[in-house]
This record gives sequence, C-alpha cells and structure tokens, in this order.
Amino acid sequence: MTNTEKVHFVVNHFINEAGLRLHMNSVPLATASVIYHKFFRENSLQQYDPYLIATTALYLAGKEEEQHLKLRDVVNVCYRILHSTKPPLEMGEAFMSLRDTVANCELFVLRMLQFKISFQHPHKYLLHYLKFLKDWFEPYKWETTPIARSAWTFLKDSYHGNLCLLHKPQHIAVGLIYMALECHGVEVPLQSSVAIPWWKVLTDDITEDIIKDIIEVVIRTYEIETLA
Amino acid sequence: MSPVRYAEYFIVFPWSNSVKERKNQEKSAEGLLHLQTYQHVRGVNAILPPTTSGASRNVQTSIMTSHKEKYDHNYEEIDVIGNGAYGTVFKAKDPRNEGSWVAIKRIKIQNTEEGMPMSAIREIALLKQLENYEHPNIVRLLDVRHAQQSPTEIRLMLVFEYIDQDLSTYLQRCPSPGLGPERIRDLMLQLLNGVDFLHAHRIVHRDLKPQNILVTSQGQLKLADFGLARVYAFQMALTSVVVTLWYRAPEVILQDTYATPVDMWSCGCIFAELFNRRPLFCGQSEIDQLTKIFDALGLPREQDWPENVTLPYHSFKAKPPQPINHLIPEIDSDARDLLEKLLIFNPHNRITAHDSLQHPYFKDELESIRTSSSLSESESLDTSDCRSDTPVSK
Ligand SMILES: Nc1ncnc2c1ncn2[C@@H]1O[C@H](COP(=O)(O)OP(=O)(O)OP(=O)(O)O)[C@@H](O)[C@H]1O
Ligand SMILES: [Mg+2]
Repeated sequence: MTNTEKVHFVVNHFINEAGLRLHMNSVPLATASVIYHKFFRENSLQQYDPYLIATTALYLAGKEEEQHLKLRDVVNVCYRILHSTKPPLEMGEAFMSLRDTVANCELFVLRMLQFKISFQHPHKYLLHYLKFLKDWFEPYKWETTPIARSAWTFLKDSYHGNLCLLHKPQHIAVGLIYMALECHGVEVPLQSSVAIPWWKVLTDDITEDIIKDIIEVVIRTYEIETLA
Repeated sequence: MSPVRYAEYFIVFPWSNSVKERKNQEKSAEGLLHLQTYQHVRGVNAILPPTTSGASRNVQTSIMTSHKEKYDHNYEEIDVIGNGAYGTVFKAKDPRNEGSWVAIKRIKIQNTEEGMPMSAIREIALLKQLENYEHPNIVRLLDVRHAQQSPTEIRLMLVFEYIDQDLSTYLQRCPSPGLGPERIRDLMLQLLNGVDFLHAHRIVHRDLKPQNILVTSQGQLKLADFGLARVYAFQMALTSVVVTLWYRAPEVILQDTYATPVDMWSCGCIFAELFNRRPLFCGQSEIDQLTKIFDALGLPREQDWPENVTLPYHSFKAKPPQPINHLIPEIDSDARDLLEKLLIFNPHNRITAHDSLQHPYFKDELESIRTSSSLSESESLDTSDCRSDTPVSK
C-alpha cells in the first residue's frame, strides 16, 4: 500500500463528495475521476496539487458530458469541503484567484491529456449485462439478492483507484458482476449445461485471469480504505 | 480468493451511495473515511490554498512552464498553404519525427471567465477519440495545443499529417481525357467510406468540397476540416472570406434544419466533378445557386419544399429535369443511378452514406475490398458508442 495510492483514494473520495453536492450524474463523475487518474499517471503528486487537479477534473467533466457546471459553484463547493471549519468563500480577491486558477488549469489539463477526455465508461455495459443476466434467473431469486446494486456500488467505488485505466469497460462490467455474484454466494443458473460460461457470452474476449485481476484491483482499493 | 473473503468486503463497501447514506455509515461503521482525512492530506500538500492572488498566479505560471520542454517543442513553420474562412493553414516541420511535414491549422476560440467554451472542448475531444480508429479516409490529427491565451481569446493549433494535394489540385493536374471510370469509382468509394465513418459517429461535415478532401501521392483519399463547426463559429464572425455555395445542399441554402444528408448532396456534386473536372453548379448567390440546381435537375415537387423558409416555392419557375447525360456525357448507368440518388432534393429521400456503399456501382470493388481491408472496419463500428450530440442546426 503506497502513500500515493492513499492520496489518490482520498482525493477521489473528495471528487465523489463534491460531485454529489454539485448534483453531477454518475457518468460525468466517472469522467472526472478518469481525467484525474490519467493526469496522475503521467505526473507526480510532488509537482501538482491533487485537489486543484481534482477540482479542475470535475469542472472539465461537466463540460465534456454536457452537464455544464458553473465555475463559481465548483469553486465554492470544493472550497467548502476542503475548509469545512472556515466560513464560506466570499466574492472577492481570494475567490477570483481560485476561479482563475481553475480556469487556467483547465487548459493545462487539456494540454496534458491531449484533449483526450472523451471516455467509454463501463456504465452502459453494466446496465446491458445486468438486464441480460436477469432473464436467466428466477424472478424471485433476482429480486431478493442485490446483485445489481452491489455491482453498481463496486463500480462507483472502483474510481477511488485506477481500475478504469487498467481494463476495458466491457471487462470491468463483467468482472464487477462476477464479484457481486460471488459476494452473495449466487451462481448463474444452468451454467453446468452450457458450453460457454455467462461471462464469455457477454463479451467474448474476456478471460478468467482478467476477471480475477479486476476483482483484485477492486479489493485492493477497499483495502486502502480499511488499512488506513 | 474465496467467496467468503469477498463477502467480508461486501459488508464494508458502500461508502459512495449518497451523501446522506454515507454520513450515517460514517457515524456507525468503523474504518470508513472521515473528513479529517482531508485535513491530514491537506497538511502534506498545499491544497487549493486559501491564497492571495499573487500566490495562485505563481502556481499557474509554474504549472504552465514546467512541462514546456516535454510538451511544447516547436514546429517549424515553413510556408502558408492556404487561407480559408476559418483560419490559416501552414506547412511545418515536426522536429520529433525526423522533420516530417505537418499541416498546422491555427484557429482562435473564445475565452471567458468560465474557461474554454463547452462546445469547443467537446468537439476537439471527439476528434481525438476518433483518432483511435485510425480510419484510412480521415486525415490524422497529430497534436492539439494552445499557442496563446488572453482573457478573451485562446489560440489553438491543430496539427495534422501533411498531405501533398487536395482534390481540387489533383483534378487540375489530371491530364486529358480525365480520371477514367476506375479511378473515379475508387475515389468515390473512399469518399463515401469516410463520410459513412463520420456519420456513424454523428458528425456532419457540413463543408465537403474538393479543397477539404486530400489525396495522397498513393491515391488515398482523406477527409479534412470536419467536426469543428462550433469551434469555428467564433472565428467566422471575424472574417469576411466568402464561403463557397457550390457544394451546399438546397436545405442549407434555404436555411431549413439540416443533418447528415447535406454531406450526401456535396458528395453528389463532387461525384459529377470527378467526371467533368469542373464544378457542377457554380452559383454566384444563393438564389443563383438554387436556380442552377433546378435548371439541371428540374424544379422539385411542391410537397418536398420545406416549410417556413424565406424563399417561397413559387419564386422559381417550373422546369423539367435535363437528362443526366447532358450534364455528364461519359457517365454509365450504375454511376448515373447513384448520382441521381445523391442529388435528391428532399433530404429525407436522399441516399445515406451507409446505403450508398451497398450501391451496385461499387459491386465489384466491394467484393475485392471486403476480403481485404478498409470497408470492414467502418462496418464493424459499434455505433451504439456514439455520443448523443448530432450536430443538427439551422
Ligand atoms: N492536412 C493537410 N495537408 C496538406 N494540405 C492541407 C491539409 N489540410 C488543409 N490543407 C490545404 O490547406 C488549404 C486551406 O485550408 P483551409 O481549410 O484553411 O481552407 P479551405 O479548405 O479552402 O476553406 P475552409 O476554411 O472553408 O475549409 C486547403 O485547401 C488544403 O489544400
Ligand atoms: Mg478547409
């Protein structure tokens, strides 16, 4: 467990919290985290303030996903979270300078990422796959086991780490469903009588090793939290 | 890992459901994050410091300069290639790739207190995403950078691969008696293949014309100058360069709403030009352009005329269509059929890029290409990946 991972974990938690206060939807929020992780894949924490990058990532993600946030709101919300004991920012020089810093940092992040801020997220795959799997289960069984809910939570939580940079979105979706099934001790019906296991039906270039790796990355992310 | 072990984590996991839920968990469960953690990290790094303006400027400038060497090597601009309505294109040398040639388009976009406009960010991000496909009929976008900024303006540099000539020069240089039917069919197939790719990604080119179509010395055709309509909008207001009407679809001239079919009309005009080596409809004004179109193709039916447009149907005289062979003497029957389907007045009835590739005109070529290369790529595209913004506008 490195200190770097811990910092990224905490900062992405901050992204999540700020995003919720700004009423961001889950896809723009995921975009913000990916922007953040991509930035720090190329750059070190010693050089850049992670909270400035995180704040910029939130703002930029809102633009990219057409959920435009007011820069003023982003600055205020982020400031509130980071300085919870201080009075809120007032319009004035400090506010303006923070705002300009984020506006300039936006260009900088765009440059660093070469404008590649349009991402495929696992969300839509997860949605499709869960719908598809549901039909294999007896309705009662499916209703009483929160497989879908767990998979969605794993997905959200995975952004505390950099899983999003390590695997294809289709694979992440499958891996997280697999993990959810195992958590609840549930098996997909009829698996013994089919030639192709369910996860390979969903996306045929996935392997058991990939699934295992995805699950391990997620668990590791949870460990950063518990071992803190 | 055993299921039991996962289950263990399952009990601790849900910290991101909603603020409210999470707050409760924070109170009850151990091991979940506390806000103090922020405080801890804040001590280590200077986080969004409650700065004075001076301090934050310093942060900015050091940010902007520290990576200069790594990212901002200079391109050596050699020559002006062209001056379009939207900016100047330079020929330049890329010092990284053994001084290979690049074409740099400089454009200005609006800067505001809110930073770069959303539309500009989205369009450029989309172009960068398209780069992942490396489509053979799309010009490569190698680099994007901002050269300068002021409070009101950001200067962007779009760096493209350099291609020796555009289709208009290619046609000018072509000796008599012209390209010949095989060459025309090959170029047309590449053109429609590129347009199909753009449309599959919900990009309307809007300005297809021979100057925006590049041809490599190996005869590979590549589309340029697409997907930036909203980025250009800002600059458009600042220039007085006249945009050519010759390839414009009637619904654009009539200022009706428009979408992907406008590009198919332009493809039709270009198709004819490949045969004749001169433009099909050379209007001097909007009315003149429409008149020339109707002179050749006949006045459309009244029920196809768009509603609520400024030019009324009855301002044009009824005319019968001319036989296509009068416009293009050497055209054969499959080509003529495709051309007629591209130049249909009503955009809803005009052939789509996807369907045009299935046209009998390409039958032989398609068979040979299917077994080898380019087409399969655009066909296997996952169109569900497209983003929802069809740039449809007035
Ligand atoms: N990648 C490239 N390689 C080589 N030449 C290029 C490239 N891109 C554009 N050009 C050339 O630069 C010329 C000018 O381009 P520009 O887009 O500015 O003007 P245009 O195409 O005439 O008009 P518009 O601005 O309406 O598109 C083009 O006609 C083309 O010949
Ligand atoms: Mg051009």
